[in-house]
Amino acid sequence: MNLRKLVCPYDTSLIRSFSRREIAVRVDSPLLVRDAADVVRALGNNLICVILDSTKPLDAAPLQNEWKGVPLALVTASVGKFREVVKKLPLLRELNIRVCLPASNENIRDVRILSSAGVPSTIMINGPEVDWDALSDLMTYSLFGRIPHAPIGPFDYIVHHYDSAPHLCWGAAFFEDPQQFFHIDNKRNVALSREELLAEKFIGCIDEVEKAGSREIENMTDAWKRVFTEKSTCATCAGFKLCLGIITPKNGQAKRCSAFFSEMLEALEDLRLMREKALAEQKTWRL
Amino acid sequence: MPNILLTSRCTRSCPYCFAEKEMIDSPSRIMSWENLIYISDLLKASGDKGVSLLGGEPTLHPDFVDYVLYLADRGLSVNVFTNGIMSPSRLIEIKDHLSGLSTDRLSFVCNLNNPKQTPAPQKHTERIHDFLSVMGPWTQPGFNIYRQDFDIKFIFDFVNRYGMRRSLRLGIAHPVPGTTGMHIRPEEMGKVIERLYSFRPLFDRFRLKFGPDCGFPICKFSNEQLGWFYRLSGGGNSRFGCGPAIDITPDMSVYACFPLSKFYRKSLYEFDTMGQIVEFYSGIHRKIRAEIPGIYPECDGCVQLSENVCSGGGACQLVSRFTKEAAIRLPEIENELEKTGLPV
Repeated sequence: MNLRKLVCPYDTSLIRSFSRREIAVRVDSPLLVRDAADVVRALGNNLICVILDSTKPLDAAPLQNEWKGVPLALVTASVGKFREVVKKLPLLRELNIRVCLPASNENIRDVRILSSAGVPSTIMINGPEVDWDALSDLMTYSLFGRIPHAPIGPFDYIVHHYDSAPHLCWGAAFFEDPQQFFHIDNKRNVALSREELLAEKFIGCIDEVEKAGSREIENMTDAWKRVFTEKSTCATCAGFKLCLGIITPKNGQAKRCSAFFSEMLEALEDLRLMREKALAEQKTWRL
Repeated sequence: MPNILLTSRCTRSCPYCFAEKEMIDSPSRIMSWENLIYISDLLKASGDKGVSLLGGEPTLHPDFVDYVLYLADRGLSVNVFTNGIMSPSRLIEIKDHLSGLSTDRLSFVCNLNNPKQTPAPQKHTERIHDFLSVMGPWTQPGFNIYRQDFDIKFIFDFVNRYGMRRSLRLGIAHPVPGTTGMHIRPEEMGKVIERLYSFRPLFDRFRLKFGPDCGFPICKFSNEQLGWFYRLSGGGNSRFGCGPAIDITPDMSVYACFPLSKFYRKSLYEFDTMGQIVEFYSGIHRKIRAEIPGIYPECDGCVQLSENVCSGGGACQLVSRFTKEAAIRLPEIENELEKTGLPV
């Protein structure tokens, strides 16, 4: 069984119990960001990033100079007023930060603003209640923007991994992929998503799960197959390869997410062809 | 420098407004963040360094302050054309958030009307004073000439009182083809320049420069006036031209200046760079001038015109003439006039 990456709370004894693991450590206070990063590294693990769950919007987040060099996912509900954010832009551009936001209409707009201003960000798509047209515009901007801008997740993740996986779980862009991530609490219990961790829906202790495997993991990773056995509308969706039925739209709402994922697949194909063409051109003989 | 139209709403109703038709035809539209980002990207990709914000009254846009900060952060210098009439809360926002920008990154042109010749409500006048008392050093006075007996004495007082930039932007009210708004006719240009020259003692005394907007014909200046004009406008900046001023509307339409807003109106998405847009509308200007070289018969064969020292008046005056009297040889222009509902 391959070792999953761990998303765990900032608990020194818990982190000490792991060795050479890839860890994203979660903190709820800006004061803990630097310490958490240092502890994970000092105890012989590889730091993926520090995840800071901020109760404040970005415009009020107390960003700190000492975060330089720390890969940071700042999870917040909103961006706030640009007139305040603009004061933080010089530091934001210097940090190794990604601002993660839920997929509200306002956030879809603000992610584009941040990206154009040079700040990487991620829109967290967790269900069908999304303005798919706005998201589609954002995806086009992310993939085909006129001039270089900061990456926008999950689109940059999808582009980066598209060729290598027949089925792509883009939830990994925000740590939601049971094939890649375990979410654990400080008692070493494992959940397969952030939502299940918060609901204390555990599949067992990490030591047992990693030794013996788990039926729940198989169920979750194979959930896409049920789309076909249960004759869901997703079974005939042109965008299934990207969505894998994760969005599960309610009756009559499938058209909009379907259009989005189909459009994204087309865009990815275009990008792939452009990349191949560029590679072919590079083969020209030269000294 | 392209112009971004943030909103079609305005707080004023000037008798000479050449934007009025455009404003009436697209009411209550405002520039979205998405479109602003697209335009910023286009400007950056085109190598543009600055942008002007227009309206209507651009400060009415709910995100005005944020838009200015955003554009400045993208490395663009921002020039705002305002009438200075804004709510106290908007003025406080501007003071709190924009007065930290240097005058080479942010500037205003405050279009002023003579309070006696173009009366306005007392409240409007007070708000202009409030605006200038806060942003005077960032602000260049602007004045549009729409009558021969115009009076600009009040501007010298404003400049001194509020520490405004010592350069007056002077525009001529141009005709909007197909409408009957107040404007300066070609035969009135000489008298307008005479009148302007009568203010010379004030310009000299207050050391106020002026920068003429498009459409001043060089032939209507005497040698003495030209010498003064040349010195006052900073030597090399003397302009008698009319090139396409690229306006971009909230719905991403693009055209070459307000008076010609219906004439060859295009979508911004049809172009890849600002250079392409300028080239396209320069081509239209050339076609217009292939029909009529300038606003006077003597423009035909004029050496100043052939050497691009003078454009022979504004292109809008020529198109306005097409709609009234001229026989048009180029079918493309005739078709465009018909398409946009202008009587030929």
